[in-house]
Amino acid sequence: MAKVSIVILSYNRKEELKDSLEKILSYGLSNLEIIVVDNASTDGTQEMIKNDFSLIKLIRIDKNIGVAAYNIGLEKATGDYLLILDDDSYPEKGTIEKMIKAFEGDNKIGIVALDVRSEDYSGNEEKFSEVKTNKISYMMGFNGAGAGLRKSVFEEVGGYPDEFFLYWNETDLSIRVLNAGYKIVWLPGAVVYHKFSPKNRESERGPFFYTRNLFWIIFKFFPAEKFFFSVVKMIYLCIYFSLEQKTLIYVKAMADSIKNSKKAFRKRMKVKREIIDKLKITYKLAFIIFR
Amino acid sequence: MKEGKVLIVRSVSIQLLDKLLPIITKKFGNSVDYFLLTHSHSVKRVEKYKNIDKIMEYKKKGDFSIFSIPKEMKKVFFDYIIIPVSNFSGAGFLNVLIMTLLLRTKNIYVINSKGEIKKISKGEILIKSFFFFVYSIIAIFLTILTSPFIFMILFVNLIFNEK
Repeated sequence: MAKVSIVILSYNRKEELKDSLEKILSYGLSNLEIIVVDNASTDGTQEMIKNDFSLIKLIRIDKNIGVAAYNIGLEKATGDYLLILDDDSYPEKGTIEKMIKAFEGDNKIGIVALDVRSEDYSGNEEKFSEVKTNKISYMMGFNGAGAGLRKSVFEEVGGYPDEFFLYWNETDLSIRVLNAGYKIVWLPGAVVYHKFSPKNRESERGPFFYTRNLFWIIFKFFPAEKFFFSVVKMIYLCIYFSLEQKTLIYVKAMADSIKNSKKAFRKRMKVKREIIDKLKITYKLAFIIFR
Repeated sequence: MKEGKVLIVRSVSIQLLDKLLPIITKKFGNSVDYFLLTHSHSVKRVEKYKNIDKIMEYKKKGDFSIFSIPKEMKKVFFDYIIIPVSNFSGAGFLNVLIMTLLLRTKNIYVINSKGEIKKISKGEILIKSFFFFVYSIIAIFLTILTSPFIFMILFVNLIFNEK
């Protein structure tokens, strides 16, 4: 049976992570490697893993480097398939087997987007509705709280963009995977539960990175004609929503994206036109999800 | 036959809708039909909701707009229209609120990410529309003013970036 490496990025969510690890281990899967990359948590996460989960590989990072830390875990992983999870998400029993089956059924599948669902605060999974369909469908992106990545594809196209820190990293990786000729499939019924927590979205960090990185997605991948209109649209939205929400955060994010645009331009690449055309980028999302 | 019709507009992420849908169905009960308006690309993903009686497809890409309301929606009288929003200010969701003004309904509600539900009047939506118009004009003006400088900086950075 193929080997799967689960790579989890943790940052100050000790209890949620412990709960997720216990659930995953309770499935009794063989040929499974679990790697936790800890972004310098200060809540005792590292001690908890060391004491309670001695078989889990812990990679300690001495400062919070955002999603770039995932790449360290993905590089160390020895599995044929990598399962990316958040520290507050966990797969349902049977999900990993479904993911392996999907990968083995088609070697052009680069990413398996799992069926990520919110778990309510009481941990009750029963409130979710049944899935009426089991057909896989082709996607242009995935939810980083639960996704499978073929190790060989990671080695070919790389992982998450180091310069992003947070947000839009999935879209960046998706574009490179699709551009390399691989597919992204959504696997309904292969469920990953995510302890969705809106309180984490109230800080200024969210809208800043969400806005800045969307500019960088445009700078890195958009062809000239689409580049122009998308940048103008983003400038307009940054100004409009700064007025509407009486905040300067979007203008700051825009200024940072322009000031440091060389970071994105260094990675600028030619992307097949149909990929950019099919991308579902909701520009306005950056300005509404945190408010 | 059920007693009423509730339209939910899929204006937020599927993951947030996962959380809000049980709250909505708990409030309005089982004696109504639930309609869900969603973009074409997410129709398959919302088929999982067993409480939804009818999915209405919004075929245009991009934001919900008064110019692209599905014809079948215009024929239906909805007892309630529910718009999931990030918060009660409605910031960023004005296009959806304006769209509801053209639908046949008497009750428009917004539900925030915490699951709190609040009724919103058509008058409130019109006031928000006025501010939308004013802010849009200012934003267009400032965009025209700043864009040449921004593109100049971007062009220089693009040419002189060290690969």
